[in-house]
Amino acid sequence: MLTVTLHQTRPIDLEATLQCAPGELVAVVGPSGSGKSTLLKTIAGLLSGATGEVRIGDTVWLDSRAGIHVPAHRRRVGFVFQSYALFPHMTVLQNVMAAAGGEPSAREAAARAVLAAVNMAGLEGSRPGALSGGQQQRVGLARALVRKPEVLLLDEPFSAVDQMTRERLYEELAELRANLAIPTVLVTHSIAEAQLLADAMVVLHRGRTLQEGAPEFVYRHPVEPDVARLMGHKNVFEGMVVDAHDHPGGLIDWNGLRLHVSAPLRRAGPVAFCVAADDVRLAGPELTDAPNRFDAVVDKAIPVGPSVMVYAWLPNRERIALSAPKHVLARRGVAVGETVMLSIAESDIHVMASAPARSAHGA
Amino acid sequence: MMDWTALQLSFALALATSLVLLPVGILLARPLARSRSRHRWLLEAALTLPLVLPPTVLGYYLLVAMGAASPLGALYERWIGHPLAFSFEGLLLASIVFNIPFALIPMLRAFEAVNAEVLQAARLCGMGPWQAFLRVELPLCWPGVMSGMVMTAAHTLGEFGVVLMVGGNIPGETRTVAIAIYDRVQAFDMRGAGMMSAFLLVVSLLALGLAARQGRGARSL
Repeated sequence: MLTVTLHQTRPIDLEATLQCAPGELVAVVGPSGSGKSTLLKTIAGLLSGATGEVRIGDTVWLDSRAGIHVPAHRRRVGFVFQSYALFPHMTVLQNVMAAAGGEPSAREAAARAVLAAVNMAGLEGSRPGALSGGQQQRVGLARALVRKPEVLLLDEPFSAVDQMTRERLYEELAELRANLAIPTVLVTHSIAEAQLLADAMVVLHRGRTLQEGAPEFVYRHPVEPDVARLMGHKNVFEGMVVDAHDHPGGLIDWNGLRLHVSAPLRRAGPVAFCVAADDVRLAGPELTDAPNRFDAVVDKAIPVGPSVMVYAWLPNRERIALSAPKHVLARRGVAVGETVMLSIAESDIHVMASAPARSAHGA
Repeated sequence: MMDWTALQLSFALALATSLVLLPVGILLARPLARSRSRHRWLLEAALTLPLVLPPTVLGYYLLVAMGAASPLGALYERWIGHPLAFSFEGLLLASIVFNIPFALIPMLRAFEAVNAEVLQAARLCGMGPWQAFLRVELPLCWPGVMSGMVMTAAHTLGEFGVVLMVGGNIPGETRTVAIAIYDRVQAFDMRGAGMMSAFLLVVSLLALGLAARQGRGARSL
């Protein structure tokens, strides 16, 4: 089990906690500049500005209270860099051998085996400069794995390669993981990548870990507006809880519109909530008695693949986004400037645990 | 006629200067390349000053610093038994100071050009600081380091002003080939001056060609 608790104020703020079990892949997700790489490099021991603890099983790598700071080269970390960071003056084989331990002959055998495992057999004699991005990243992965690391850290490893290569690398990583009984931490700015590859996700924003959980759960149940926006939610709003007891759930005053929610509302006062764009529906005559129905004026309609992202103004001067298939919109005659009726199911409104207008809090 | 003694002296001076500036240049260039200090420009300016100062000005200060009246000159004379100024050792010291920018700048550019993540990768391959330096950083900087060495050697062969100020013109001790050429011209021995000049020209050209080949990637001055 990898457990990380870090605090740092300079050069950037860091207030992060993270757990990763053997065999598990945890994705650290956040926008550029959120401190993802700093977090990862601090775990690896490359940066020493943070206080706190880093433990892997019974081994302590960092315990600032006890004055323990194991230098990077003594931590058994496999690290894959975004920029590959291969040694340009060495061949592929030498790059991987440089990280292998033991006798020279054993090192070469280990390096060849792991290169074969990442589908790089036959290119042992090449220089990194002669390889494609995807090939360089495979060598980077081989170099990380040949150390028999106690933890594997991947720093945006797929962001510098093209889409096709990226998808092949995803599959190769998923295959490799089946045989890896160590914690793996993947840093990425791509929610989709985290959803595809990770067992759990940690949302990092301005150096703080805001929420930890399964990717789908975090997407559906963000704890606060920052997480919701990072997860790609377009409909993140604030309102006032007017009645915490009415209805099975409660009633929110949303800038003058009344919004019924089925989730329990425990206290009155300001509240933040979000609705997924594909949960906002175009209401037809069959929905006339649904509780949350509003007229809205279509502001924009942007085709995105097979569906269209429609932005519409509500009577309370909030702009809401809804995503619907092209043919549905065509049938309903939705066009810019037209008034449409929208409905939101009570159970699709996710009320966030932390109140708005407060800064980010730990999950 | 060729002044073989002067040539030999010049080559010895060039070699010694380069050999001293090899570690000194690396020791200065590496931390300077990593430095994010706000005062870095000041140190860099000071170290490259010999590039723009007239050689006589630098020579004057070095001469004052080495003279018997200075602490350095006095200490040297008490320990070694002869004055530092107008000796080969004094000339070597002056040559080292004067050549710092020629050695430093190519090395500095080479160390700056190394990708920081490549060095981090070396640490994460289990290499300690020394191993990472010897196996990764230095090999990557080697063209720049060599380029600095060759520039230093070529520049030492041709230096005139500082040598004249600090070394004077003592055959076998401080008369370098550049001084010898000047001497020949003064003595109307144009043939001797011409031969030595041609020789120096060819050697310098070869050295610069070598530096350019070495530093294909690394930028020289």
